[in-house]
Amino acid sequence: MRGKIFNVQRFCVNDGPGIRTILFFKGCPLDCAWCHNPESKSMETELFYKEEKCLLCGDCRDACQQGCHRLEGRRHIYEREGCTGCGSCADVCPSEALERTGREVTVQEALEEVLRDRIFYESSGGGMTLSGGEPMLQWEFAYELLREAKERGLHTCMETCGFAPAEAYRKVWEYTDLFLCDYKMTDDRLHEMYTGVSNVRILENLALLDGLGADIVLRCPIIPGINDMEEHFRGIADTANRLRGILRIEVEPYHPLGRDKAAMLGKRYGLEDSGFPEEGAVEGWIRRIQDMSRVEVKRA
Amino acid sequence: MLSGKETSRIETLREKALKPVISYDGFYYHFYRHMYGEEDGRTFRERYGEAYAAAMEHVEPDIGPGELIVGKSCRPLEEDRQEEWEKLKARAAGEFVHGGQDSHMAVDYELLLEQGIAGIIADIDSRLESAQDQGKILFYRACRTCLNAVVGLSGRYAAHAASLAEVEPDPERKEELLALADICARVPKHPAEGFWEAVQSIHFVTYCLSMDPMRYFAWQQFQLGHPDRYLLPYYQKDLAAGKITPQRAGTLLDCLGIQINNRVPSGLSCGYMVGGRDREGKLVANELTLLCMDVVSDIRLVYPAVGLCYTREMPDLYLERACGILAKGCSHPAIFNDDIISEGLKIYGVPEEECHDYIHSTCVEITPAASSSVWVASPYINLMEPFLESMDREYDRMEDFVEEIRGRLDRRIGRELAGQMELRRAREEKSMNPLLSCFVKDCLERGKDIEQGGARYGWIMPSFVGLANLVDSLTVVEQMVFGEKRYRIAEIRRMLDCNFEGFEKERLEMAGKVPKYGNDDDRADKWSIALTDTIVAECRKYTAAYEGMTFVPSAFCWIMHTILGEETGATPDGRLAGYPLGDGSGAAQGREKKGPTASILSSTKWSHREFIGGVAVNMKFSANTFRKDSGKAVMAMIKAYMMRGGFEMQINVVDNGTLLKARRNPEQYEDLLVRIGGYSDYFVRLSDKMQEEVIQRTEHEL
Repeated sequence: MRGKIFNVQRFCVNDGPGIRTILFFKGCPLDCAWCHNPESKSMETELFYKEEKCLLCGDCRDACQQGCHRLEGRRHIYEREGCTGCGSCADVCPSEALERTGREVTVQEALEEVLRDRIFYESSGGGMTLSGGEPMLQWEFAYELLREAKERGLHTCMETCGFAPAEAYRKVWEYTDLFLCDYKMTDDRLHEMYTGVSNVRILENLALLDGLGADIVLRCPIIPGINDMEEHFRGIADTANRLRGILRIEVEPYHPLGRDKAAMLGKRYGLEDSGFPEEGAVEGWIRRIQDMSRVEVKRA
Repeated sequence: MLSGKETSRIETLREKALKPVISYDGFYYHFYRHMYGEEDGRTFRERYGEAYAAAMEHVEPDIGPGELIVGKSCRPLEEDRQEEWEKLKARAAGEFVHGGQDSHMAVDYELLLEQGIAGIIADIDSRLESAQDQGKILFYRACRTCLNAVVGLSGRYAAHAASLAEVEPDPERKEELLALADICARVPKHPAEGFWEAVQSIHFVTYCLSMDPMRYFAWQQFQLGHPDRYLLPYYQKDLAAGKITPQRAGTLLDCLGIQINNRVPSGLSCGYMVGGRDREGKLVANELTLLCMDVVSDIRLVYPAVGLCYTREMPDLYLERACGILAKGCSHPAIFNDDIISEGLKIYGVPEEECHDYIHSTCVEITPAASSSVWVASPYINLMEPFLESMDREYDRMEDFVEEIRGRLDRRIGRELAGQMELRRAREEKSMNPLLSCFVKDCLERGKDIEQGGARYGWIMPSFVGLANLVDSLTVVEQMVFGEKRYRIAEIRRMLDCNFEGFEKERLEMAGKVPKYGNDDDRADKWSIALTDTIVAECRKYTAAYEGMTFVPSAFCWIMHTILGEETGATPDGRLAGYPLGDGSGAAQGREKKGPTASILSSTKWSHREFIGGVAVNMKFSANTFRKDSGKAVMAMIKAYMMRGGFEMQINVVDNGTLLKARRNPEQYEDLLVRIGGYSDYFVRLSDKMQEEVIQRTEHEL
């Protein structure tokens, strides 16, 4: 079985216990305005283009079958219209000005990459984390990966937005040691406005996983001016208090690194004028939620 | 943790030690003045002892306010004697031998503490009684004279402390000075009774060893060995008797640490090692292990350079403490792997009961403790030279190219080691160091000065610099010349000759489109195995060729990657002319793309065990990586490195100053990880604006 990923990141220490390798799945059913991985949204292979790295050598122009690249004087024009994402240009680009994002891998190939760091998982109690994008958009692939990883004794973890068929969660639950479940917006109208989907199904799946006895960390991106409000903080705490399986709440303070990446993809970024939250604000959020919550609240 | 009062003592002493005045010229001047005094037909060996004693007479005791451990560098030579000193130096330069990376070792502190100098003198006297050989008699007499001179200086320190006490208005300090007067009267002459005496004794002798008349042109770097072993009985005894508290012991160790900075100028490396295993192979991990590490963050000076010897069975507490100190931004402790180093020492003939007793002689070079006359990093050999020389023609197959490099490397090693051997022989003839010989095993037994081969282990350790560049360059040639057949060797040669000018695209391809060492990619890493095997085999071959000598390889560079890099032209791994060569044994600068785990896997694919001369793997982390949970992950990473057979790891936790440097010179910092809102990324890959934001934010997190 094959799946599409856009990154394999080793030595991750913040997404599940110990030292972990994260497989980032490509494609996401949500369209969050603050998304810090804009390259994760589409299932299609896309190309990052970093103009400042371009040497104007013209190799991409020669390699492209679709005629997307041309040189005009001292400028390299990359027309994304007509680009099939084949990546031939990135293959020949000497300076990494063009970089492919997204590749197909088999379960075996992905697993082989993950297993390279096995000794570090053993020394740290770490393992494999599936993230994205949304791993559940390719849940059959995720299922196979988790099953194979479990068979090899790895600790498994999945970060999910919760938007996938309930049946799929029932299946992957069996081989997932820890779920990092997003909780983005308490108010459903706002949820739909900022992420493109309703949170009803997401909350149902959260309850479902909880009912199955899964271990869950509730992950809450907090974006100043969008969801740093009292009702939402209460919603987070209430959810954690209501469900037995929630081990802790992790606050993910907004950071604007997605803006850069969106620009490199030729895409519009949802929150143009945003910056890092003000110092002290994050501690305030954490304190506020902690006051209402039975479980530990910490920074992701 | 120090109390308020002790903190202010240490801070004051520290402040002074930041800019110490270190000069032994006065001592050397008087030595040579005496040595070259009235000619009486005696040889320099016959005159050495009394010249040494005469020079010691001129050393004036110097006890600063608040000092609890005393003995530091003498005052600079008086202006009006400079001219004469220059003349004496010129004469000495013609008669004695320069060169040879000696010292870098720990002397026999157990002997000193248990016997005292008086005990050693008694031993020498009894040996003198039965000695027939004129050379031996001369040697023993010189030893005795030097030892007595050390005791004499200590006595003058005692008198000085007493006279300071007389005029000291502060009653507490007065009491300290009186205690010091007592202590200096007793040690190092007599065996140490308590902890304070023991610390003073080892410091004082080490300080005296720093003044080696025959090495007046070089700074002697004597290491303090394993204080958590030899000081432990004194610590436990005093603790049980209620004479000391852990706090007080910490203060004394801090004072000891500060004094290293007053005897060795910065830019070198000097310190001690803790942890590891004892003679019976039992774990050493005690309260002193922790206190000795704490010195690093207490005093925050360049010295001591502390190594923690990690062993499989060591409780987490010790590594945790080391990581905690690193997290404060200190560059030590470095973590050494006793499991590997002790195995390696056995390869070179060190018996089981001695194989855990060694010191990282300054940076990472391992020398057996109390019994070494090892020359470290002798010399540094630039691995890129034989490679570049071999690019003078075309080859039919990759194997032929590699064979040519091997042949040239072999001849280069042969020449260099022959040079070292010549130096060694010259020093046998024209040098001596009786004081040091008293504290290095087998010299007294053999009746031979350390310079004449008295020490138990007299190895030479060549160090090979540029391993990563060599591996990467081989990979480029293999892929582009013999695989893709894109270039002939001559074409690459042309690009290198013009420093890639007009070939930036080709350079970037060589740097970016070919696998690189440090990314857990066997296509590159296989060369590291092949080449290190070659180096080990070469050293073994020359060991067999020179009877009685052992050549032990190293793969670290101190600052030589920069110096040798400056004189090395462009290389096929995409490195421009004059740029530093790879640092230590890890990936070349900017070539590590897959994070620390991949880098560790790469650098442990080849066997470190044989490289007892030292292997250094450096890792950089931003300060925020060391917070709570992620700090634990770093610790687990170190453990995994050790499990993989890693030799030594140096963790650098970088502050904002470094981040700013990384912005200016991104090529040098491509492996620098920073944490951003929950995940880590390579700092230099962030956009300019983002880097700025991270710098601003990191400032708050520190």
